[in-house]
Amino acid sequence: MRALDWLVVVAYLVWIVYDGLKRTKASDKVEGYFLANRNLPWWAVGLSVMATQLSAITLIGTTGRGYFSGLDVVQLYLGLPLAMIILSVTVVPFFYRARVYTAYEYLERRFDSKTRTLTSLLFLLSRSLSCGTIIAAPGVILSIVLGWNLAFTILLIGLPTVVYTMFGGVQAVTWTDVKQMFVIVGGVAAVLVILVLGLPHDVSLGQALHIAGSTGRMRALDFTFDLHKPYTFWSGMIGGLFLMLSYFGCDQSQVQRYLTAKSVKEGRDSLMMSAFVKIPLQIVIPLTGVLVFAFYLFEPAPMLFNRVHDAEVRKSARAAEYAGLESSFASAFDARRAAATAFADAQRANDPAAIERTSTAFRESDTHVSDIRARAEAIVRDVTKDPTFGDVNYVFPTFVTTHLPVGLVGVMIAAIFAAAMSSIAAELNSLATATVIDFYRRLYKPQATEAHYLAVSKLATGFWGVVACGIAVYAANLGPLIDVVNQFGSFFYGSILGVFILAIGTRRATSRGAFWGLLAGMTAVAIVARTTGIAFLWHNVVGAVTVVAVGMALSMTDRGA
Amino acid sequence: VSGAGDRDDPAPAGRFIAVIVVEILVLFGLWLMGRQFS
Repeated sequence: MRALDWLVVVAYLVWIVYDGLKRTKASDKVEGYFLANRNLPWWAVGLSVMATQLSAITLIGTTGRGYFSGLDVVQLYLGLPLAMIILSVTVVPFFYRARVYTAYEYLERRFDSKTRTLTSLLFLLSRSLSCGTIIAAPGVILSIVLGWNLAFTILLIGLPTVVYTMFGGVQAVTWTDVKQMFVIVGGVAAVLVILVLGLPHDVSLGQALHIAGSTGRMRALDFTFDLHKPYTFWSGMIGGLFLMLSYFGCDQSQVQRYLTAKSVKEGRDSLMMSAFVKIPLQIVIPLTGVLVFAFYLFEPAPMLFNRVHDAEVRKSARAAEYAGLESSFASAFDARRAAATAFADAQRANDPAAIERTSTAFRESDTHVSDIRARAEAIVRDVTKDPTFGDVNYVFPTFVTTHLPVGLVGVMIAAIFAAAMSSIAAELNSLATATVIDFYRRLYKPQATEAHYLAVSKLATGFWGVVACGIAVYAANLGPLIDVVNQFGSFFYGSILGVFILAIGTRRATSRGAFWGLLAGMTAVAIVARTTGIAFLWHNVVGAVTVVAVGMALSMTDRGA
Repeated sequence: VSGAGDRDDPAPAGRFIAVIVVEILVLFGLWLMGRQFS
């Protein structure tokens, strides 16, 4: 990074922290600190909902996945619009009128205190770990790509976020989310322009997409019904629906977003924004990865994007073998570039026979390049003793730092920071809310002053910030990051959704049914995850269905007794 | 289910239909894009 890029990143950090701290005065009571006095406009809440979900993992991991596999990851979001409609009709008016601070508070009113305690504890456990991952992921990647110290990178992301969230509360979270969303979208749009302009003069965008598409990268929808594939139309529509219902309807980090809205209508409108915009936005991100792939067909690409591992292998006993592989990679890369150019020429000439012939030749040359890369990755795994090594998360940051013009590198690094910080801030704020409302005020100190609870809330935010940064520093070898976070979430999400279905969907469910149903659901997910190869999105369905089935069965025996 | 069809805050059925129509169009667009560029 050059001086101008540093200036952009520092200016972004100062601007965001200043903007967050400006909200301190409006957060002088607990309701103001946690719920913005339930007075925020729908569009700000809607942008905050999207910014919270779009983490740096999404930005970096999804573009990397787009580079290697294409648009198939979009299918994860197919259930989101329907989930938003269901939530708008059910939980939004429900939580809003119940005047709750946390989603779990409602479970005590409906069932009992132990169900509230268990679900809130699960939230604290899963969200604090996920918050650590959300800081660690860009921290690890940027430290490798930019050559920064890991602890410094994590602190550079985590510390400003903790400061403005701690003092400004949910108002700081929401209003900085709005600005961060614009930084992210602006950064991605600028990268797309650079990518299109970076194609050779005689290769159009359509031709580049045809070339990438010939490898299957433009095929977003996979209609095969295979429970073992992570992303298919069915896993996205059904498993994704359950995941989104749980994440947006039962997870405090999202529920708290729309509890800050002015009215039920504004809360609904904020979710409708995601229903309309989220899938198109999630198409653009892996599409950026596909265009990075097309760009690197004509520009020299490294054999491995992770330069630290690359350097480690060069110093190892397998250095000579690696160097030989690199030389094969260079020739395979040149052959692929020639094949891609011939394919583009055939398209321009509109000659079907030539298109067919050059398309086949290009696919063969691409497979050859991929095989060499796979062998290089196998050497890295052997030398580093890291069986989870993957190059997916290093593609986009490498492109950003080596091919964007000076100044824009800083903008894109700021966008990666913004994606991480917007998610971390919302999570820290919701962790503090659950800690103070579900535990401290309820169990430890029920009769204290507003000022006392406000001070404790700020301390709780700071505490979770330190915990998340601590987890981030020690988190290592995360593998394909987006999958790690989603898989971890799917362990709990479906089961917690099942409890809320019992609570809101039927009057027959009893507290015993809900509590033991929840434990049965998590056990079922653990068994399915350990003993079968069923893809993680389906775990949400398993968890929710088990909770509802066991919960209803136990409730019926209670009523019979 | 509480909240559905509430008189104070009626569920915006028109907007829900619009969401479903937009999703169908997006899915069709994705399918078409996969066919066009493969």
